[in-house]
Amino acid sequence: MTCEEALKKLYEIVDNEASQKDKEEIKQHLEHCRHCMSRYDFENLFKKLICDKASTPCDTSRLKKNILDRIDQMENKPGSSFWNLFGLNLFTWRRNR
Amino acid sequence: MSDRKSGEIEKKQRFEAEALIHLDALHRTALRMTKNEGDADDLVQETYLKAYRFWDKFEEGSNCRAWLFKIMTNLFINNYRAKTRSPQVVDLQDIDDDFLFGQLSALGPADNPEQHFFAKVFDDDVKGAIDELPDDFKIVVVLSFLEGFSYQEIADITDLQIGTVKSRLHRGRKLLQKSLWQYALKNGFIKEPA
Repeated sequence: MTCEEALKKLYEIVDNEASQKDKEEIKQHLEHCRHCMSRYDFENLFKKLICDKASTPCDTSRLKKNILDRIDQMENKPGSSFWNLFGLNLFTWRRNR
Repeated sequence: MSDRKSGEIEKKQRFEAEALIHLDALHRTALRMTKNEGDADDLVQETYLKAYRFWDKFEEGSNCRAWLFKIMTNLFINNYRAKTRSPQVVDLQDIDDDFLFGQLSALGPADNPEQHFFAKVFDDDVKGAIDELPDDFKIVVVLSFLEGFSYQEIADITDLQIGTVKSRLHRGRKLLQKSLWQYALKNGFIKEPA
């Protein structure tokens, strides 16, 4: 396998999309080729860097609560919240009379 | 308790266990897509409400995470992208495949410039570089790099041909590398080779 052939499959290997056969052939090439090996190392590191640095966790607990509340509202139909409000107003209005 | 009520509770519990566990992943991707917290929260919330509405259509045992990302990607493309859409012309002619590798190698092997570079890049630089990508590239890059979806899964999520996924990912990579190189020069932890 030439360097050109080995580098053609670079991204497929890094993205874990290459076939077993390709993986083995490229592994063999890399054992003897420092240049290709360092390029592969580099692309692997680069992908890992992007993933690690862009994945800092956020607090999503409030968002989760909002979603569950909205689902509850959806389930408590018939009548949107507007009609519930209207019904409630009518009820208080009658009581006041 | 009525049958209807207990059915609702069961549905909600299943939804929480199978769909809401992916909240952090969806939120992380939504942040990169919309570039701001408010829109990201809205996008994720809309995604989950839509998923809940169509929960009966979701086949048990199939890939819930990919299904949620498909809903979110569609919502983003149809509702959010329109707001900020600008002509997305990108010239990649002058960027080689090994652009960043080449630049760093040229700095000389003595002080291990690659390790130096990777250690110095800030989280915000990486997020900024992703945010600056044209949406078409950004979507596939985020789905692949951050979420670890396969080419086929990304093709299913985005309704693109697998070849298009690959080429966008390839071009997205090049743009990211160029952009991070420019951050490094700007922040002064890499000096432009003479």
